[in-house]
Amino acid sequence: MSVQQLIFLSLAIVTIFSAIMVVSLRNLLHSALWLVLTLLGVASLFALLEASFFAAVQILVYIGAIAILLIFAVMLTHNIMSVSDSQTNRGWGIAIVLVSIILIALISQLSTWEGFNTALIGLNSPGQETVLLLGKGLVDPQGYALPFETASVLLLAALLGGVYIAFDKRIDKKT
Amino acid sequence: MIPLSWYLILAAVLFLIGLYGAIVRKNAIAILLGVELMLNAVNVNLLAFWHYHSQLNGSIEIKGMVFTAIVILAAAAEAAVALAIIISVFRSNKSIVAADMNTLKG
Repeated sequence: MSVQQLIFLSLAIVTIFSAIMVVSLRNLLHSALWLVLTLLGVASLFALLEASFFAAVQILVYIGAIAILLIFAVMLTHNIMSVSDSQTNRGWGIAIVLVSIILIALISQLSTWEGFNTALIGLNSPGQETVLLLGKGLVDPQGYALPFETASVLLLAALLGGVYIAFDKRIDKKT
Repeated sequence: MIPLSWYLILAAVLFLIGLYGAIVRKNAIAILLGVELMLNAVNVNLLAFWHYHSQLNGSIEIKGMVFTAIVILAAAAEAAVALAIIISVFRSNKSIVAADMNTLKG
């Protein structure tokens, strides 16, 4: 077993353990903090896959923005659900059975594919060639300029929609 | 050298933990945490296949990276809108339990 495999296994154990903590803890604030650890584990997996740009984006966007947004929302809606109440609905037994069936089905289907056990070797891309190719591809009209611009419009629409929905309309009535 | 299967199995496990969280949790924000886990698992899968495909072709492909970038972007948009809706519902209903959000029920 090589050093890389040991690193992968320890990262995988941390990621999966913290993911289980995210879905099982009763205190939602603790769940959100465990989610940060999961996202960090996934970011290190991206680094192992030689997608260093996405490792950075994962830390900036997910841990820097989404996780903080979630923690804010948890704090804004605090004290509504008592921690001593059950946080799961009645269907948790069925959900575990369903999830295990899907896991077995997925892995048994994937393992019939001949490329399943391919060892991933290092890509020979010197320097930051990968990021340069991605940047050029995203603004190239023959490449992915249209999806890229559509995605920016989606982000703008989501921003405006979020502000509009969360805006407190009672302020207008008082004045 | 790490086999591709390890990444795929890890992504499957992460996705299903997220699915479990999204199904069983009562709190709307906890459901959102489950959905975030699922989106991350999808990104691991996409980048693992991107690496596999680039290695097979001997040159860097960017299709998989573009897909991953758009998934991250959609996740950010989804989190922002979903949290706005949750805060709006919390303001009018004083509850963020998903089962209580039944204003549209006939």
